[in-house]
Amino acid sequence: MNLFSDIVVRSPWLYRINAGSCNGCDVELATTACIPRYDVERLGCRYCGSPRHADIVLITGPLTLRVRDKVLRVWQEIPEPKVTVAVGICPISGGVFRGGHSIEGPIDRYIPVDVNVPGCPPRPQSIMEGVLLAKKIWLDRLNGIAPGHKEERHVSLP
Amino acid sequence: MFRFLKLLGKNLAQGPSTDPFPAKEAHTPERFRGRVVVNPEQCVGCRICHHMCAGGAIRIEDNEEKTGYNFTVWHNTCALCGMCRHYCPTKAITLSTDWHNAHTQEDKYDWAAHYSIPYLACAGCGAHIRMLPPQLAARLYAHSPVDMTDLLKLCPSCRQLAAARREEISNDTHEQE
Amino acid sequence: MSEALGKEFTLPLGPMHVALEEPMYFKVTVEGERVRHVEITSGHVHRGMEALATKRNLFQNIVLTERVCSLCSNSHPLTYCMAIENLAGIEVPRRAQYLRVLADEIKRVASHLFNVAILAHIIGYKSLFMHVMEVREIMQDVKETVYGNRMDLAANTLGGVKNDVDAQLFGYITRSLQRLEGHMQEIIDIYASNPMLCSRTVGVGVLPKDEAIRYGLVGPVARGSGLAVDVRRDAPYGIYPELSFNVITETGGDVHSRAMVRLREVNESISLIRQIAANLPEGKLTAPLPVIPAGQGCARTEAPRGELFYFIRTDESDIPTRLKWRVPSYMNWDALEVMMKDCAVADVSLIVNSIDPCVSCTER
Ligand code: SF4
Ligand code: SF4
Ligand code: SF4
Repeated sequence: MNLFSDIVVRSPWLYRINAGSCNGCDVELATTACIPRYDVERLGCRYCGSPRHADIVLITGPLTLRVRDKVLRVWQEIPEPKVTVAVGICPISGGVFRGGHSIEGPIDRYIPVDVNVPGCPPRPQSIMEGVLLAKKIWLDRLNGIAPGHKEERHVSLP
Repeated sequence: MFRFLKLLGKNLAQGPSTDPFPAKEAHTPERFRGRVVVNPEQCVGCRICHHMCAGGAIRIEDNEEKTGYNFTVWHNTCALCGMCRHYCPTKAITLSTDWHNAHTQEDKYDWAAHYSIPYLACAGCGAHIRMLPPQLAARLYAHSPVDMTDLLKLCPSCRQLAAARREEISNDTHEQE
Repeated sequence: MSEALGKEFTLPLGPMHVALEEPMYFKVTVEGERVRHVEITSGHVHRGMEALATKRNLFQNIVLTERVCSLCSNSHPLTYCMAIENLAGIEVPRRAQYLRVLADEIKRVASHLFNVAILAHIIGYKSLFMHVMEVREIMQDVKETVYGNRMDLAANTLGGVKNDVDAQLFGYITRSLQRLEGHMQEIIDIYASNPMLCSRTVGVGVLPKDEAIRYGLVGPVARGSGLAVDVRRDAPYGIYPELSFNVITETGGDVHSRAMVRLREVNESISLIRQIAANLPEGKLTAPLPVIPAGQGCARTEAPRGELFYFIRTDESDIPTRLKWRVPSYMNWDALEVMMKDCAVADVSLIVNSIDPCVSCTER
């Protein structure tokens, strides 16, 4: 069994959550994901349509009040070990929307983020670097090298 | 069928459209708006960039001893909008073409550039001032008959006094003639 | 089974539905395969931007309005700046006016291509989707090379533009346009005649002209129903009166017509950019800024999705006391009611996409 997991190259599946983004990051994610020019499938990654299949989750947007609970619920549906990537300055710090009355971010108040990809929006190559970083963390977690910190990784749903 | 063959031929001739990145370095245009950098030599501490910055990525504060100011750019809040670069009077703050931005969460709060820029003690009274950068002064006073080198080391009020004294001396010499 | 088919039941769609780009939430009441009633829940992208705008100064708001929506991210700051210029009586230099139109038309091409690509994506025509997105990359490269970012151009500022575009860059733009034009002909042919595409889009989501007038529609959605409205021609601003372009209309009023309007408008935009390259005058990029007086100003422009309107009220400080914008999607949104009446469930996302809805614009 060990030998098997050693020789098999694992491929993470990606899932994206829009937490109220201005479309910039979201469109760039779609571009990175879907078109041959960037082709994340070369990196062994694939986009999937359901959170339950996902391994790496990419979150965009500043986490608005209205979308918060839904995002958290979807995020919880993703099985461990998962790796969370915050794409764009919005989820990382609130970006230009910082201090708005309906901004609940930065997203790491609620969700343990693993990788940040700042930019407004970051260019696809930059997103790919983030995905590669996330993939490395994910593989480490699978192999038990990096802590999965399962206990800590809970979110409180109001 | 013929259309299909034509397309196939065209695509074969064109080669793959996939960007070789990350196997190879990606092309970055010259004008790409990437990470903000500050040239501390040129900055005069006018805070215009801070005023322009929509997300509040720039922080300018006096240090504890008040002997200089700390200039911080938080890359994780910077929208790369270029407003600071456009309105900075000395062009001290610019945007580089560096877009390698992905980092792990541990590095989140280190993802910033810190500069500490010293004040100068006024040669007259010792108050802390930010001296005009020499290159800028050379440009500003290119046609001035007065030698500015010493005057620039004075705070505004000492400079006034010095100017008054200079007037006095030149008036005296006029009277003697 | 047949009993269940005859009964009405409610089907929630969204907010994290893959076919829709943005978090929208629909409650669709269906009877069998037919949609009987649609309820739209919104507010997921409400970031409180109008309130934020009254906390930020006039310059910060340029950047803030650019982030209302990144698909029409040039129209927002442009209209915002125009509102202030109207308020303070600032005369924008002619070269800056030309460069503003240049940025606007480049964004329009990219935005329209994105929308028609998503249409192909929704009907499952993946190779066409990828092809159109690859063609759109030409424009993305232009944006990145000329303005430094693939989505947010940061071209506008109060009283003018921030970046000059020199002859060398214009050479690059013209070469890119040439490549784009070669592809456009082919893409238009495919959209106009591909049987699979036509069977999914022709006659779907029909909006008759009188309904379009009744709902006060704007932009490509109105033009797809044969209503020739275009702010660039009806209330000219900037240097549009000096440029020649056609207002594209189609008469079908369905998903297909709206896609064709967008595709043909891409060609118009290409011709506009060429005219700018040929006639660009020398001159300054920004006008000197006076103190912005207390008062009210407004401006409207034609964004990729239709008429965009900005209103600003200032006191004498540099923080506006009110900033209000009305986006085209807001007008077009309501017409979904008509378009979706009795449509098939499978067509819901297709029809929603055909108005090119910008949720983040509408909800600020
Ligand atoms: S980071 Fe910038 S581009 Fe991305 S969603 Fe936020 S405002 Fe939009
Ligand atoms: S970087 Fe430029 S604008 Fe900012 S404080 Fe220094 S001189 Fe002023
Ligand atoms: S580029 Fe824009 S967001 Fe970044 S530091 Fe400069 S003004 Fe602030």
